[in-house]
Amino acid sequence: MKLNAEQQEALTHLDGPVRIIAGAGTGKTFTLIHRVDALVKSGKVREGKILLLTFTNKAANELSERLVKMGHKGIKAMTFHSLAARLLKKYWCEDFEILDEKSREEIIKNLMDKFELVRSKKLIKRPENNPLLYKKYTDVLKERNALDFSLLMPSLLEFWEENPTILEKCQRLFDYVLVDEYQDVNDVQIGILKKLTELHSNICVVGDSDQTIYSWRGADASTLCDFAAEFNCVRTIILNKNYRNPPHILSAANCLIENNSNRFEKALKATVSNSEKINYWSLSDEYEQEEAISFCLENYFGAISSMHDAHDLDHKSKGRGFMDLAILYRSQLEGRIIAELLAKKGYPYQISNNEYFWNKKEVRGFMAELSVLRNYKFVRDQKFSSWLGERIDDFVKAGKFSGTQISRLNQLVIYAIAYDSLSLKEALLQFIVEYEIVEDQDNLIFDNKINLLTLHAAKGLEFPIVMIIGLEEGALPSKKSINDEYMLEEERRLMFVGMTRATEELHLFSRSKFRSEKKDQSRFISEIPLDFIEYKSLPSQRMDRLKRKSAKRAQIKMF
Amino acid sequence: MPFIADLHIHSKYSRACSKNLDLPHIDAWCQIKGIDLVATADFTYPAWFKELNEQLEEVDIGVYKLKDEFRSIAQVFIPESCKRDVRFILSTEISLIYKKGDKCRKIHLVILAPNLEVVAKINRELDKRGNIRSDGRPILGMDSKILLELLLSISPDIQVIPAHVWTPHFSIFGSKSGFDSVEECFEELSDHICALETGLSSDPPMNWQLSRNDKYVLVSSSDAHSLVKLGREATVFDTDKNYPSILKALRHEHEKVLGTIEFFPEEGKYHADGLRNENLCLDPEQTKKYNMKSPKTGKAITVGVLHRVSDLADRKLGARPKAAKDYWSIIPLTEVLSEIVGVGPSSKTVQRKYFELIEALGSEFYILKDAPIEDIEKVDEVLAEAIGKMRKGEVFVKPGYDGEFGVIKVFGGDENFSKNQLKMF
Repeated sequence: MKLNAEQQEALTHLDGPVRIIAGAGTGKTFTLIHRVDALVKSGKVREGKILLLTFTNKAANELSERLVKMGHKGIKAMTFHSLAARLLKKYWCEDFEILDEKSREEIIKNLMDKFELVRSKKLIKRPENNPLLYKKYTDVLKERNALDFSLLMPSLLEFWEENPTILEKCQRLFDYVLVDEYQDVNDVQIGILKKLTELHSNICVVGDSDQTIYSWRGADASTLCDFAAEFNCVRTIILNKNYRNPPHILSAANCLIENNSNRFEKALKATVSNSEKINYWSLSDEYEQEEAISFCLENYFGAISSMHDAHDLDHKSKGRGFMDLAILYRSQLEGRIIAELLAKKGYPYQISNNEYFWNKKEVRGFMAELSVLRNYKFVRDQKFSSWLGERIDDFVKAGKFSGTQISRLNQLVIYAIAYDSLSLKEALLQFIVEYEIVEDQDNLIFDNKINLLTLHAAKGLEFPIVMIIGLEEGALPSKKSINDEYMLEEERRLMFVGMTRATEELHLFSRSKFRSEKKDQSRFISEIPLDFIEYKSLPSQRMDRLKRKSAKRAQIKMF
Repeated sequence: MPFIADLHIHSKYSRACSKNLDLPHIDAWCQIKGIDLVATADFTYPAWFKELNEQLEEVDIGVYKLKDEFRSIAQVFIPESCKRDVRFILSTEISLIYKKGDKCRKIHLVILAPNLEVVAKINRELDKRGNIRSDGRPILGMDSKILLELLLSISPDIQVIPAHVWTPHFSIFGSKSGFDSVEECFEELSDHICALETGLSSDPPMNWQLSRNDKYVLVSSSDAHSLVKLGREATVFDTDKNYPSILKALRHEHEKVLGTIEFFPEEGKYHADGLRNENLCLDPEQTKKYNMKSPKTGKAITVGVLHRVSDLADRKLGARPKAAKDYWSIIPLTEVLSEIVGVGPSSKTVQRKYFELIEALGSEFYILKDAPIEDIEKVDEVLAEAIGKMRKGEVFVKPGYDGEFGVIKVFGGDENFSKNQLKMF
């Protein structure tokens, strides 16, 4: 692969602050890696003095791997957390302890008991809300010579503040610093970067303000815009040749995101030739949606079970692999509906989560309570997944959880659907066992299964076929964002991220009625010009089948 | 003592399968049919695996029997003449759908496992990789070779047998989504494959046309989705009834596999070419003449097994390789009776007649394959004549195509039927 003109430009100015705005599918990682390569080849710097910062271990590993393939074994790619931990170990204290979530909680709980504070889950999570408790907590940490995960980066900044000579040492460690996904940094991280590059200003950041979807973690869509002022950066390179998405899909995504004001203005240009339009399924209700999705699946995969259907279906089918398809959704409820459908039909599917899903405190906490219920006496006959849903509701009621945590807990129900064919007792046991053996199974995108992901989890990935479901007001955009311009823009970015995951085909689904409630089509659909949309509907045969089914449902209701 | 084995059936937990396919009923019907050893089927399905654990007990290494206390569940009358000890072997079918070499592959494989502990391990591993809770025959997105590799890492005594190898859909040599050879599918692990299941639409002479398949022992199974279809095809072994001996026979001692009991291949649903919706049934030559497309609608014609075999064959039909085994072509007894009586095979008359016969003579396989013609004559002269003709292969056929069963008649049919070639030896 050759670098295009803009990517080439990104390699020419090696010194001083540089900002690379890399839109979706423009070869961000490719350019980043070539910039590192160019740095080494320029002879300005040895490999060990280049620092590459990322947000996840996964990204760090991927970058390292690709650099090794290019022959650069000595370049350090790591996360912000791991940078902080390493520097603190080296200059502050060699053997300080990094507390895991469990030990951290233990300390806080003990303190609460000692000072006769009421044990509240909220306070355990945020001891800083009680100054006394927090003081005592940090005292214990000092005594134990320990830091918790969230304290790593602030402690580094503080430590530098107090020890200018050490700061200077740290500043001399790296001559060039590169930051991936800069749109996701928060203030503390910006602080670290400023200090770290103070002497040489050799900082290069790469990112895309249109893909900021982590506001709740302190990221802000304007971060990339503000970089210029914060770091005195005059050099901005815009990568706008998109190598991923078909032109119609890309133009549609461009038009959509132009409705955001808080962004770095740019328009992506397609290079892929493919005349595929966006397939838009405007459906009357969830039953029609089920039929439409089944219809799409048959078209892509042909017959999966019955030899009898095989001939008709396989003729039309495109013979896709399961892994070619990703179904994306905003809320766990939608994920649940899709998982149910796929489980019923026998399709292999996997639910991909953000990193560390199973390690999340609330997930671990709930699973721990669940395993105590091993011998639960089931009194009512119901599906395992709905039983589990009730347990989660109880669990949530008994404690205090953030919206994100509750939604993460509810995701367990989607996993549980796969167990619905078992007896309740059996399902519970297997579910617990399964949990005990999940190792790093999340994000196993390379298994040949249909991928179910939240829009958040889809960031950074691409799939030949993408379906986004639940495009209704109140779902995407979500209810709480509708009256909040700032959040609405984030929802729009989510939609943008979702659409730009598709390398070949994109299907959008909306329902005008869901669970008997009237729904309005998402404003995001209206923001896409009609030229890019192909309206889809079920063939009449399938509609007839649907009518028969609904007549049957009505009959059952009557009696 | 030779015994008859049906290594590939399904339970009530597989899609489109009869609800009474549970262990007690399978046990009872195997006696009626004359099957000595039968697949447990569907062992990856959690609820069924549980039933296997509860209802079976091991009687010899890797071979199980139904516990006595479960017998009465099946309220099926089993005549004294048919009673036998039915043995179960752990065997299941898996559907693999994946891409290889840019083509979508859909392959069904039969998996034999040495014991319930190994099955538990298999289930645990497959559970991580696919959805085994929706269907007794689970669909996985795995490559055949990767699955085989995984299974062998669990136990070297697991045996994989490609299922109904010639059907156009879901088979290793299928025209639609299969391969041209075992090696293309399993690559460096191909040596593990030792047996091929011929499927209903092909018989041994058709398979003998491929010299590269000479090294495989041919087996036949019913792939039954209901009780009455148990044993419609089967394999005859002459070995001890335990897992190691059966495995050895399949792998190395092919002489211990005596042969197979077969459908007339024309009766199979995918024997000839054609299109079901257009009532279009063609032989391979005609299909080629039409350029593989329907002369009426231009739709692609479903290529049947006869066609597919001849495409890959390097020998003429009629050639018999040295290691070839015997086979017995049969027509299900109810179908023979149906032709004689002139009413449908599932009619009350035929059913009554069927039970009278097995009570008087013995199991269905005994009547079709072994009973001396004179003995049958004593009970029913017309039937004796029919069975005599069937055993000699003197039948009239109307081949199946594109999912439509073929029809075999002993006493001749209308102009749509043609006379079968006589058995060639």
